[in-house]
Amino acid sequence: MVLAVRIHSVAIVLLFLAAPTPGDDMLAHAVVEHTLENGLKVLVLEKPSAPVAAVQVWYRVGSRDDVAGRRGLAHLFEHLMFRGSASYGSEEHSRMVDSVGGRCNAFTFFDMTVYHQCVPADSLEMTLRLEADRMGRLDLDAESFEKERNIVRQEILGYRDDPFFDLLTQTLSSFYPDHPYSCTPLGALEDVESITLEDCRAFYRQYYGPGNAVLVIVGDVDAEDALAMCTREFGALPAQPSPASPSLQLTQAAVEKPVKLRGDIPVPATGVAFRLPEADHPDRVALKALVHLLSQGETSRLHRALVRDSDLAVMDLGYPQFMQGPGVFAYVAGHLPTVSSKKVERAIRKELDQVLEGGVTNEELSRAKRQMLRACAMKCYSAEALAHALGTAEVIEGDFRKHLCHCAEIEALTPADLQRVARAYLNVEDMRVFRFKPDRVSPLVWLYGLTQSVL
Amino acid sequence: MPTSSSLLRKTSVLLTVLLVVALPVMAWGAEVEASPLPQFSDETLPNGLRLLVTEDHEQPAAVVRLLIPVGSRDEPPRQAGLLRILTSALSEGTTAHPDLAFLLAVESIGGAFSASPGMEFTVLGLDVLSADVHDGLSLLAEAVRSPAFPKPAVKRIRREIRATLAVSDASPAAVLGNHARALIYGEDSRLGCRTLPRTVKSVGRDDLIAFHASHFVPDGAILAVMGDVDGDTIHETVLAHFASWQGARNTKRPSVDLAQRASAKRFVGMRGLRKAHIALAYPGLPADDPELPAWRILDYILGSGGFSSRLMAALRSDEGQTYEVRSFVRYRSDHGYMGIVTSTENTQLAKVHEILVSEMARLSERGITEDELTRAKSYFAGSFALSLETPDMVLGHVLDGVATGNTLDDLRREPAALQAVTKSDVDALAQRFLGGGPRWDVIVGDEKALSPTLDALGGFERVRHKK
Repeated sequence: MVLAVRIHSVAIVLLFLAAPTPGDDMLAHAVVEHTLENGLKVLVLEKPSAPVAAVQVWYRVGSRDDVAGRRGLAHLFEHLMFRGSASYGSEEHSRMVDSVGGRCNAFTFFDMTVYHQCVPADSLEMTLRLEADRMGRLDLDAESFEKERNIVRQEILGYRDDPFFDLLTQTLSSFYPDHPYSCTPLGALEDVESITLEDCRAFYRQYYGPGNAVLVIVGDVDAEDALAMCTREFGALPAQPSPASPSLQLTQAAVEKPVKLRGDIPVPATGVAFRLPEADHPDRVALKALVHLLSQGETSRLHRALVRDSDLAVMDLGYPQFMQGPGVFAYVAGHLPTVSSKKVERAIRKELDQVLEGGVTNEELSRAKRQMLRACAMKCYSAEALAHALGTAEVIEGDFRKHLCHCAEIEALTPADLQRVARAYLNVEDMRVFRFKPDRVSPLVWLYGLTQSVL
Repeated sequence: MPTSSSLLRKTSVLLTVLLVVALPVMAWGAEVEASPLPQFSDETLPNGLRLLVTEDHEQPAAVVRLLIPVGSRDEPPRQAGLLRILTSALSEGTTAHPDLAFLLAVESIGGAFSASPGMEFTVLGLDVLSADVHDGLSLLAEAVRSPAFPKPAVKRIRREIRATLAVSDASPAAVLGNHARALIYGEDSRLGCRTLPRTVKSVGRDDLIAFHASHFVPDGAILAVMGDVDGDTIHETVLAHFASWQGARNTKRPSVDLAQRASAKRFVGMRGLRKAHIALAYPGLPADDPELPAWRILDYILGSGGFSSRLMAALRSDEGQTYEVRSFVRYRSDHGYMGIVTSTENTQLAKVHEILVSEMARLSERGITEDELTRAKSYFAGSFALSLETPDMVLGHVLDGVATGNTLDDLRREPAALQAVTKSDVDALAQRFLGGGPRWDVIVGDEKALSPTLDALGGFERVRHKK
């Protein structure tokens, strides 16, 4: 047992450290892939280092599939998936996972809905049985529907009490006008209150077939045994036609004036946003490295320019979000009311211009690469994190064989790559500016700001 | 991670035979191996620094954690936030790597440096690729032993913290927590008073230097390393960088007895909220109490067990009155408490509050069922493997346990201790803490919308939240 574990561990280490070949995804080679006759794709990655198994079902449906007047249906439906199926009562799925020491939950995002659990490895079969039952035989009754609708209502009201969420919602709809991504996955309260049980039944029939899902298993499992279990539990589910996906093309109006938004926030903020390419685009890794260098951490360019080396901003946040459709890179700086938003915007533009014209240094890129490689290694400790990466690589990025492990691509990046993608995607002429203003600012904050600017 | 369960079993049996008279604790040898906690080499250096190392060759990385037994409860009066400023400033330059050079050095080896001040202790962390662990340990030693606390950085950190406070001040959940702690510990106690912009502003560079000199000492500190490392060379590197670190622990903490505090109820008005946010709290057990396993089981059954818990069933599953309800336990070296939090629409406050209070009464009067106990034990039996899957989880668990008075063997006995809990153990705790003793109630919401309900509930002190 000890020797086998050590050899396997060494094998994984060797895979990681072997001379990288650009385009060669070595971790992906360890994944066993199989598609059942009904279209369910199963991906299994053996990871015997701890006696746990991560089981995730990725359905290719999300808030982007909510139609007008039914925003929030995908999310509400996610709740209903826990309310019982042919063989299991309401919330029994969760209680059974709890009873073996596992954890389970789900989330709805723009492009997918994921049901995830992490269990002791010897509970794999039970978990697969639970997932198969609700995939094929979900029980939707009126009483559960009304209860879950009320719970979702509570959830939405809770987020609405957060002024920052309110601003996020406004920002999204401004950045993605008339687009499937324009509303948060949470949905709109007025729509959720109009959704019917029949809407949910139709949604289930349309989107929750085996051919519209990817089942991911990572952990202390035997791939062959796991596939046999999957065939036993899921194989009898009938195939269903693949649902159509909405067009994710984004037609953005030419950039005009900055967008002004108000909210109950303590200080003003200035944000910029850029459109990113789709998640399966070859420029994705270079963009991640660029965004890291620009906005992640104390030594990043924007943080140094706006927060650290000047008094322009008091806090900042940079975040890239890649999606199946056009993604977004957003950078927001919170500042005192005595600092003008235009001044903050100019500072951001100046830093970006420097990258567009002067590129990045070898030293900066080397630091970013080491950080990204370390993050990769840390992620590989966790079956759940690996399962999430595998699901993302397959469902969002389009092919796990190309996208699971980016180590080789990261190692191969050059400063010229980063300058190229900066010029292609972070052109300041395409930059959308957002000015977030508080509904009211405390006089003390004004006074403090004045003091700071004078002294 | 590498396991050697069969080897452990043989070793433990042998030791048990040889040492059972001299070391009665070894009679637990058979149960000790039930925990998936790895074996650590365990050594205390002459300066008091304890070194725990375990090798794990799964990934080419290493996780390092340095625990210093100083927390926010040790801050000087009227300087709440000092430790937060100090720990943020540790990475802002050292005598060997001034200003940004320190962070650049950390990033150059792909490292991630962190500093987390807690109520009782502070943990500094470094995650690195294993090839760089020795450089990483050197940088960690610099940060803890010779920080420069540059004035511009201290000023900037204070500003950033004040901004963060302003952001959290807009969050009903954060406001709820602040007021709950004020009621639990008392407004004037160090544990109950919160970090405010004026307390942050009052901290100067000299204060940081003095506090660092007196509290960031090796005596009582624990350095833990887990990863793709060689134990012997780690030992040599630690000796090289930490052996000359000197200082004796002089933290004096007044002890806390929450059972002696009076009950209290407070409503905090935040204009415009659509939901009422509710917290209840009760005194509990300290970290080294032998009844802690029963306390954890009580907490699981009540509200931390997700859909398997009573509160979730009562408030969400059956009534749909809330999105989230949970209980949690906090155990410190000398005290502990249990908290319950939830939120609901303004119109449902009365109903939800009544359900909460009646569930607590039912639990304290009638106790738990055998079925609930069985399911809770089953959860804990299976959950250990999940909770100790990664080096970060393992070291976090070890440091939490050891810093609050447990030995490594105590931690390995955890699974057995939980399985040994009886219904009467749990019922006794429920009766002792949840029925008749102090209770603290806090509600945060819109006063105009909730005023009639508050009048009906009665007894709530009303304060307005000022941003």
